[in-house]
Amino acid sequence: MGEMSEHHFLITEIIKGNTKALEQLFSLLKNTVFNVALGYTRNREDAEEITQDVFVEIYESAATFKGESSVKTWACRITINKSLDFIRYKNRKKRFALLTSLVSKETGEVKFHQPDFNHPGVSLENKEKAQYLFAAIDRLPDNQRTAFILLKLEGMSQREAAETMQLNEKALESLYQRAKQNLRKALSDIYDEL
Amino acid sequence: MEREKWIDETLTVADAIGRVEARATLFAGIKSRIKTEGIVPLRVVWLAAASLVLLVALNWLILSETAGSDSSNSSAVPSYSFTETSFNLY
Repeated sequence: MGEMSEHHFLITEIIKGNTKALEQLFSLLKNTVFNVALGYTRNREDAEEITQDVFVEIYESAATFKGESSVKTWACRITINKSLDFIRYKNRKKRFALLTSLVSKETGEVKFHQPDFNHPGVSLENKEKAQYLFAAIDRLPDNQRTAFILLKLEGMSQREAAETMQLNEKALESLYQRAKQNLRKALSDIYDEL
Repeated sequence: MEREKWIDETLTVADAIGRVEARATLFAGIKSRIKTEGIVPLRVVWLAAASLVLLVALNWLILSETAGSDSSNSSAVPSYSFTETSFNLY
């Protein structure tokens, strides 16, 4: 059985309330869902919470899955929406707190503190630069941020990312190019703030 | 120049971010949430919605029919004149 037909078969079983099928789908897609969520939250605990939310949603709304896209891209879409909602909720809670952690180049003093940064895929030597990179990613509009996360961080193919974002490949490519340009601008601003 | 170098170095960090394995134990949390939240089958949701619509429609129908019969019966109600002067009740 091919990957896509296996996923579709599992969805039909989930509709019947088969939790074993959900467990199988979880083991097939958990890393994709988790890493996409991690791209937005860069915090293991938050990404785990989103991953759980996504699979509960898949179980609850399996009957609404039309089969027009692959189960993987459908799951990714749910992950993106949940992640963006989660970030908005967290930002509301931290209205007055600055999220970026920037260290003064002259004094080495921490100007801003980002306590949530706990990305398990970032090595210790890259941690400081990764925080600047994610601070810049945070300044992108939602669709550009999503294009960058799917293509660059999650390593999806153009076709898969375009299907996930419900765009054609040309539109996705131009979105990605704009994201890269805006990231350079945001990093330049961060450089000035250091 | 130094700025461009710093930006390029920071951007290359994106290539060094590794994929992370999600813990398999997360499924236990999903399972317990499914059990505690309890899933209402979609068929039940539609049935409830249809019942509600039917109830509202029946209410509307009954009310409009009652209003209609009230207005048609109004001519059958004897009219009493406010200017009736005889108060002889015997």
